[in-house]
Amino acid sequence: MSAIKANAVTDKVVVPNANDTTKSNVRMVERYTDQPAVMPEYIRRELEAECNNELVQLYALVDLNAVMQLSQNWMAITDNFLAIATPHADNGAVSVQRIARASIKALDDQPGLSSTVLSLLAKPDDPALAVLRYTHRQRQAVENIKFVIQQQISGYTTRHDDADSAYAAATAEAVKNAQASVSNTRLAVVLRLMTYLYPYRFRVAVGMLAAFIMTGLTLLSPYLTKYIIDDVYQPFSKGAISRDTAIELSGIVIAILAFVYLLREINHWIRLRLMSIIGEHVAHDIRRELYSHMQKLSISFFSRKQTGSLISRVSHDTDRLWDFLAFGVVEVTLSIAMLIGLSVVLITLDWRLGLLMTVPVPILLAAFVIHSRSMKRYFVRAWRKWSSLTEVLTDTIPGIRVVKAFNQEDREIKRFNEHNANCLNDFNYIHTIWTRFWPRIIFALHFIVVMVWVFAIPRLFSDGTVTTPLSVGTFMAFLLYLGMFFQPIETIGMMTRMLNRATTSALRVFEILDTNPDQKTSTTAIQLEPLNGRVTFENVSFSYDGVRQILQGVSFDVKPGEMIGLVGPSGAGKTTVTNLIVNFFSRSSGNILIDDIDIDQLDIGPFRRQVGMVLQDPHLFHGTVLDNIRYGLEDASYDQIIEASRAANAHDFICRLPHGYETVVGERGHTLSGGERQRISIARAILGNPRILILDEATSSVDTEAERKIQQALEVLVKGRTVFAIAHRLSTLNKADRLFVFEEGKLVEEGSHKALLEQEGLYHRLSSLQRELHGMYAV
Amino acid sequence: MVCMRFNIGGVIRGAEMNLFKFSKNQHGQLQVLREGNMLLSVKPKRCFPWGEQNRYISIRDMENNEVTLVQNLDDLDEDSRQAVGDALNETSFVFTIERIVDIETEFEIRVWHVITDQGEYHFQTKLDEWPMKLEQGQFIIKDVAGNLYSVADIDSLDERSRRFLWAYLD
Repeated sequence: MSAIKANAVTDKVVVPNANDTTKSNVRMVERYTDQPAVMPEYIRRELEAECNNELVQLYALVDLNAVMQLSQNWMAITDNFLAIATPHADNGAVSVQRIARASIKALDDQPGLSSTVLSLLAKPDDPALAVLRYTHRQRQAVENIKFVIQQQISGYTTRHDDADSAYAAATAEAVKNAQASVSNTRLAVVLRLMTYLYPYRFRVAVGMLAAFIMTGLTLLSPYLTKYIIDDVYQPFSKGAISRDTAIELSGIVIAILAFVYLLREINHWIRLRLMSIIGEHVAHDIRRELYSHMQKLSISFFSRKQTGSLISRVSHDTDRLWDFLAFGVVEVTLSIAMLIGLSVVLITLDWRLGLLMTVPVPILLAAFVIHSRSMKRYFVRAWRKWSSLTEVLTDTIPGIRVVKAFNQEDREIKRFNEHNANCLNDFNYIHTIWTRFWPRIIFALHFIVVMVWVFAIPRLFSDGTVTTPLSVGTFMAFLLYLGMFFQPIETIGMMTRMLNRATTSALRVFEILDTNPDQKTSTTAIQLEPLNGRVTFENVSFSYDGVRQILQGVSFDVKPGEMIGLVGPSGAGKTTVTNLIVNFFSRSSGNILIDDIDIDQLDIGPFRRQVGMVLQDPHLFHGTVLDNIRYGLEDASYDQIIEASRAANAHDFICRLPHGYETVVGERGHTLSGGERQRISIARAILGNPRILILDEATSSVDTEAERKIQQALEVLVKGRTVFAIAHRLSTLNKADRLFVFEEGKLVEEGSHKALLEQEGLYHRLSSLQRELHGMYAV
Repeated sequence: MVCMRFNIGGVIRGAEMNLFKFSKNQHGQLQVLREGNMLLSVKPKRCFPWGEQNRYISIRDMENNEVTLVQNLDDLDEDSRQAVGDALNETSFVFTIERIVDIETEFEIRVWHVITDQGEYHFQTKLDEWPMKLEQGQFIIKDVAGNLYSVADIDSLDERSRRFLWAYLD
């Protein structure tokens, strides 16, 4: 955090020097909330004037008044003050209540259903200095201020230098978690998607050309019919040409027709083949880009998104994009080309009948678009019913033991049937509406056909009195062309839905591609090899969500080779400490030093290679035991692998597996017990020869015998390394040089097992509790 | 009838309701006074925020431990009832939807433009976040920030709003 900078802001949202993230946050606040995206300048001025001209560091909108009515008050902090500004709508005046920050000794908040009441207290039982009420939408911005005040109460100073960015980020966060960026227009999304076609532009051009030729050739065959009737049959029946000439001409026409069909099919084939291949290439490119980008994103990104949703973006969404690019784009372009071509041909043939046919087409298209819009709500309803049906499934199938234990099968069947029947009704309703609409369109088209007949017939029977006679050939050609109108109208009519699905998939993909890796990457990355293993925390604080403080002002210095036990109740922040050491997450404030170098300056790859992790629930990849042990160290020799496995107490059971080290494990593979998986992961860690080792509840999910074996393995592993071990069973940490005791995110006690027991603090309490428990069960 | 239990130091003792007096201090903070005890700052919490408005109110101290459970607000004396009721109102704020202007679907979110009892308001829900129907027939919609919007009686809404809501409510 740096010194405060002045931020000149106007009432219009202009955040000077704002980076892209801030700009996108500001856009989100403007678009989605009914509140200003920055604190209005006149309020800020009044507020700062009242606070001895100190600059605003952080602010939040306090959007409820004392009687829980929406209002627009602002709370802000400066170096020494917390101020609450209340603008008066009637006269434009601003009244400011100023509270010295030093006088705030406690914060008390009472969360309600949609709002929070926050009291600023001088002493816990004294009257509040101020009471603020705000909806959950403002919660994050207020939490930022609360954090600073709480830090101050605990004796730490935190300063912020960009109030506008912090406020915009906090206010936009809720929407942003659901939708990473303000959605672009559909056109922009489609255009961006098209850029993926650029590397294949030549083949795309050929494919499109083939498609256009195909369309043109389709239009040719009715014309040949006209020619046969008007220019061959009619002259022949009137005796104008001989039979031989007629047959000769017809032969040429048949040959042309055959050629046209052949050419058409060749073009059709070229188009299908080229476009589907290009579609696959593009989907492949997007998948490649997506997956490699995902691998670079920080762990916090993965903790925000559901695994299923990420998987479906790489698999399902890219598949949809393939479909859209390979067929959708071409189909729609062709349909438009076809309709234009048909209109031109028909109007050229006979402009009166041509106009009769073409003028209603846009009306029909509009009917399609309007109808598909009106269908939206039916689809939403059916979708809702469908998701409640699948909810029953995801509820009861994993919970089937509970259902059976309580003998609730009949109730669950009834529940499912109710939802199932609801789905049936709503889907049938959609079918009813759709089947009502489609015949109407067909009827309209047929009506046009009838009208063509009505207008054409009198002109067909020309007896010299008709001023605009119509040839039989032209009439026949018209009838054939009429049949061609149906397909493109339907395709274009469906375009809205297809575009919707494609843009949604594209946005889901782009959302990931547009997410920047959270962690700062230093331009001068230091390669720390080999690592000594000194780890220093200086006043480190951390919050996953910016709200709940998981770590608060943690400081320690661990020497190379030291073994540290991290203890404390669940949720005290032990695992977070280890996550920060390996830089899975970036701390919110403070410094983390590895061998006296700021962790942000390290080249993270080589650093992580020297850190080993043995976690509570080790993940084994699908593959052989061998692959799993040498994961991260591909060139390890068999000797090294066996040595590591022996050290991990794993060699013996691996040899008992059906295919020894080459037994396939992991998902869909051979099932190993928890203890066996753990020992494989320890072998993996031993093989990596890490300088810093993290053991997170390595023995908690196994039975006593397995634990003993794992303990033996770990004793080999920890020698000569800096170790951070987390364990609930405090007895497993008796070899630790020092114990760090955490409570509510703070490092509360530190020392050897013996020294801590003598202190009679939290460790003593936890330790005696466990002894009691063990005593109870050790019968 | 015993309507409260007082729980201090892990011991639950039966006590008559009139032993407790609730009041508000000058800043609106709820306080409880039990005969022979000190004045204690407390927060009320409805056990059943939708189903029971006046019954089963858990009275909690500043560390969020239960001090006592009020089984029925009506059993309290007038002043106490008023004080607890006021404190409850502060925590039970939700928007009440009076009219739907528009519901638009965007990428991953649904954007609601509504008229509430507090005036015009925009909020967003996740696409798979559907309104929840309560046993009382009321509907509750939760937005991305966690704010709640209630539709008390769908029949009292205008035709257009009902048409909008038809897809989302039963």
